[in-house]
Amino acid sequence: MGDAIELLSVKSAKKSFRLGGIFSGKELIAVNEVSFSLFKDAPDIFSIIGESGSGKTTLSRMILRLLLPDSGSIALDQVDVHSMKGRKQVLEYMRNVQPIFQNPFETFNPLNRVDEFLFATAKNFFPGETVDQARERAERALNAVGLALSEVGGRYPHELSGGQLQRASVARAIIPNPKVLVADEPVSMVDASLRMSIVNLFQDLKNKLGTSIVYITHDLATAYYISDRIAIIHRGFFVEQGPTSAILTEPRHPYTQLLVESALDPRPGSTSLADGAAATTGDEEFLAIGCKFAGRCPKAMVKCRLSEPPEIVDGDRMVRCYLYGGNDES
Amino acid sequence: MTEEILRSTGLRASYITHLFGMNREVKVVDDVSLSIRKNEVFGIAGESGCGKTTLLKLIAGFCRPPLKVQSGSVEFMGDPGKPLSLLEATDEELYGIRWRQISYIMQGSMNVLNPVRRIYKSFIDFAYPHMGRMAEKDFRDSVTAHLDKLRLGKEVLDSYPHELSGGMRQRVTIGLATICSPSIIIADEPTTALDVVVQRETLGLMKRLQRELGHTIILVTHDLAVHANMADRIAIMYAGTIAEEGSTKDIFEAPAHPYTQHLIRSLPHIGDKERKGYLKGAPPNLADPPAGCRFHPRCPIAIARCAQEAPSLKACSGGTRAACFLAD
Ligand SMILES: Nc1ncnc2c1ncn2[C@@H]1O[C@H](COP(=O)(O)OP(=O)(O)OP(=O)(O)O)[C@@H](O)[C@H]1O
Ligand SMILES: Nc1ncnc2c1ncn2[C@@H]1O[C@H](COP(=O)(O)OP(=O)(O)OP(=O)(O)O)[C@@H](O)[C@H]1O
Ligand SMILES: [Mg+2]
Ligand SMILES: [Mg+2]
Repeated sequence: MGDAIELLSVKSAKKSFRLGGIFSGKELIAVNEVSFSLFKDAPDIFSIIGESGSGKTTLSRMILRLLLPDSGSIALDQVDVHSMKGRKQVLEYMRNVQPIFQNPFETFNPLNRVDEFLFATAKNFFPGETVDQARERAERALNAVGLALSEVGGRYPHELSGGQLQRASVARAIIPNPKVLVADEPVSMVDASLRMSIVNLFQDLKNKLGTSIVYITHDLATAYYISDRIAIIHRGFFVEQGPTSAILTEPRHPYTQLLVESALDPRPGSTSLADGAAATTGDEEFLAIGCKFAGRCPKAMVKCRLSEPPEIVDGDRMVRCYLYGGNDES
Repeated sequence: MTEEILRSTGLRASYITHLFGMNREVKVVDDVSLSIRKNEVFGIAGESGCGKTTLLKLIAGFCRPPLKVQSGSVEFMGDPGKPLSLLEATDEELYGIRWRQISYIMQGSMNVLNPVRRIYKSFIDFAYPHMGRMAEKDFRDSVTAHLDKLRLGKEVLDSYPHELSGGMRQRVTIGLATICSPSIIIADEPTTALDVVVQRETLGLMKRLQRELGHTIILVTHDLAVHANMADRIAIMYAGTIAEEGSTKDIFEAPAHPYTQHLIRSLPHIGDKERKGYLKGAPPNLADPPAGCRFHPRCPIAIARCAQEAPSLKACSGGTRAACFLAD
């Protein structure tokens, strides 16, 4: 993809937070030297998978320009988020990079009716249009996600179920015809058949409208099903990245292997729940020196606990793990 | 037959709201009869908006306006020989059984821990009043020991919710729900917001705790993979009705209702790339549900009768009970 033109480019993006409570005074790097690109004229579904607290939402908030990176760059059409000036440029960025949040209750104000919010979105992005046109845009977006104004009309967010509200928030996001959708766990609240219809919808948006999608999830099956490329994020680092099917069927990083093994198989009693999976207890893993996964990695070596493994690139795959090289010559 | 602990019979309920001077009735629970047994994990599955949470509110005794019961009953058999009707119980009676007999892990509850109270304070607020005359020091010890079973260290007690990961917060809410050793735990999508690794650990802990303490779990989730690995029996809901119920094995291996068959077929497995078919149409608007079987407009095998008459559950050859005229 050497000469492809970048649409969205994330280069060594980094964001830290100060920790409170039990760890107060310490700093946690929620997103650490993360890089990836989406390309023009090659719409793509790029999945980011990782466990709770791995930095996914922080990364998505940076892509949405809701947070600025401490260092590194994030650019849309070669314009860096740091260098944007004026309300107009910022508004244009936000129109083109639209969010679908993890919790649809964050998208909708509880005091406003859902349909009015959709009309307001249409009017906000297409200020010259009439009320009827705004209505029509809202209806079209709702139909695309399997809802209708006749159904959500007049209702407040709490009067819709979680899944209905999530579909409404996908509808809201596609109203301004964005170039990139950043969907942060858009299907974690919906059932398998609706999940399929939402990810099929993403595929249609990609194929028919040319929208690229950053699909953040912990659902490996749908990521496998719709995405072209995937990154596995662990404690702020992309630990593995490459073509989705290769990464999920032949995971290299021990963390990716743990993820793939933990996915519940939908056949009765097929997954043993008894053997305690090696889930973490919290933020302290962020503070580890060296590879953040070493503390629960079955294959950890001494050097893993001493210094961060480098990115090891092999064709179109990247893995950040000493098992695959690095630091051996010393 | 194993002993019954909770039963609902012919339950019908609606949300009644006023809009532009008009009454709007959303018929969310329609003729639901369930029999839940002691010590089982009873799963309730169904797509978003089908009424799972609403059904739980009714069986947990949390019915408040705009939710209104039209008919039917819910009985709790905590005290053998003296069933308590949860829909008619007084506030004191309900207070008496909450936490100690029936505890309820609400959907999204890991986000509703009071953000400005340390975790231990939430235990004091919710659970301590139900512990009889226990001294506070003993209570703290028992909370510490209990959380240890959920692999939470004692420093968690002095933390604020935002200092914990989602998985830890969810384990705290499970700890809260189980600390008084209730006979029934009602859990609404307890692991939906968790990632696969933490989900598997949380479910493992819930199951182990259940074996140790011997309570019944009513587990609601749309995620059939969770049911496949947790539930002893499953009820499949569609648009406020029970479409099918049976043992987990039978539901997965011999589903008789066309809706269940569709759900089982659409389950994603890693390795799938083909586009899965999905049902035509959308779930009905519950303010105006279709006559007859609520599934008939989307059903691939519907006949004329399905549009006129609502089928009731009947035993099928595969071992399940399905609400379908054509199932056998
Ligand atoms: N504003 C903030 N201040 C301090 N710490 C924060 C802030 N936002 C996030 N963090 C911390 O950064 C880490 C990454 O959080 P983030 O929300 O990005 O994770 P996530 O991968 O989206 O998790 P989940 O799957 O639970 O949504 C967490 O440890 C979190 O506690
Ligand atoms: N307070 C309310 N007022 C009016 N309608 C409501 C109210 N709460 C829920 N509803 C409607 O009742 C129906 C069932 O909602 P419920 O929350 O029980 O569904 P659910 O199966 O739990 O969905 P999910 O899987 O998305 O959580 C939905 O159509 C919803 O819009
Ligand atoms: Mg997140
Ligand atoms: Mg619900």
